[in-house]
Amino acid sequence: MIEIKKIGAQGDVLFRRVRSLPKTAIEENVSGRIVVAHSETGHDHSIDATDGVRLFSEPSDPLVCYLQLEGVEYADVVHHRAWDTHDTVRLLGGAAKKPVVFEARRQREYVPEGFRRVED
Amino acid sequence: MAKIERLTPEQIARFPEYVRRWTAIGLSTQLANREKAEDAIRRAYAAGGRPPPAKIVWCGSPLSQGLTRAIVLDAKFQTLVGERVRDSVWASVGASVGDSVRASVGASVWASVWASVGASVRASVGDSVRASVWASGYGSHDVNWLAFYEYFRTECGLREATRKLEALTDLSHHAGWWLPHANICWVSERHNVLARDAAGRLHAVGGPAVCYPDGWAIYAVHGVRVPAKWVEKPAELDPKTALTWPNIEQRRAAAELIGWGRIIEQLSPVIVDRHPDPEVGTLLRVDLPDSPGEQFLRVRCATGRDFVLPVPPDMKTARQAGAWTYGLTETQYRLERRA
Repeated sequence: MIEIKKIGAQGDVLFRRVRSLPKTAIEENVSGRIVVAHSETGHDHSIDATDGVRLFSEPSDPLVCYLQLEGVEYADVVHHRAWDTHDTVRLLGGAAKKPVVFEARRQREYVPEGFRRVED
Repeated sequence: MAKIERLTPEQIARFPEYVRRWTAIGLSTQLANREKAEDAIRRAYAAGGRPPPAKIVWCGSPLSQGLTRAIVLDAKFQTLVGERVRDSVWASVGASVGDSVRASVGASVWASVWASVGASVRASVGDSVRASVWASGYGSHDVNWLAFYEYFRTECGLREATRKLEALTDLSHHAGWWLPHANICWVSERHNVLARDAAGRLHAVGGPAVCYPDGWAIYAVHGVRVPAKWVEKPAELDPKTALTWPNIEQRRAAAELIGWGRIIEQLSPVIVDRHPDPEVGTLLRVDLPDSPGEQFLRVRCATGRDFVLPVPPDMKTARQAGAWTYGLTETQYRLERRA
């Protein structure tokens, strides 16, 4: 378990606290767990205890999503793989009355046409 | 019978034995015992309130079993085959056993047996083998949850509550996967080759990590499935593949099979920048045969494995390149922690 206040990474996902949600962000309907980063080979990064956590996507950037924590001290992002598992990341919400927002950024790599998301 | 709220020290001491015994069943490479398996299948149908299938068809692997079924269904022989009954067998067997055992067992006991027996067997069998194959009735790969109920049946005396599971438990001892339909039940042999590394991940160099009697095989390097030719003929694996293969886990496996020594020897990368922290990494420039001046960031993940990421040719430092991979500037890319 590692705690992140401002910025940290869990494998190919980077979490960064931001001041607020961008105006363009759209809330995603979530049933069950929040999949922060889907993996082609089944080892998702997800928030399994979702009380007080909301997920937002950013239409202009498919590699970015936002997690808003409200009324909870933290949200744990779990990496679901039986081996070479990344430690659980605890995003700290603090006791602030105002919601805390983390930006989650997927890792990318260069291709001559620009870039593509890292597939794992 | 009083609800079981606590296990005795003697009962707890049996956990490792269950994990050991049931893991061995799940990883068995013995040929199926067809007679006993067919008997177990008929009893499983009966436990689910169904007449036995008119025909039991043996296949050499889950793949040929799935293909055979697909061909038969596609050929519009559905009436011959009958409806799928896995769900009805499961619903009647699984749910009723689960409910009655749960009613007899306290939550903490349930959790501790699951964590110690079920989850351990799952970690050593289910996730490493079943995930590499695909979905149906799992026979010997159902041991992760069958072991859990078997513990309660044997150690806590819940024989009546678990009676409906007996056929599935027997089947797990004698065969691989199965695809039950009302009239036909397909059932597969078990793997006859199964190789894993010390951490229990599928792993073999020089041959398949999993093989079935009909020849169907899965090749894997430390839990990452890779193309057969990489493992069978690693000398022919092109170092360029280790830098540019689309899937990063497979790319890393290619680098491991080739060896960094050979990659460096053949591609002669120039070190553009080496950060003292291997998790920030080393920026390399390589002239690939058809694309000169490509840059790569070789970086160590928090799990201790090295990965290579293509990065833009105008990157000057490893930190700048690492920041770029997350769409950040070098100044923004100051991580508190990395998991």
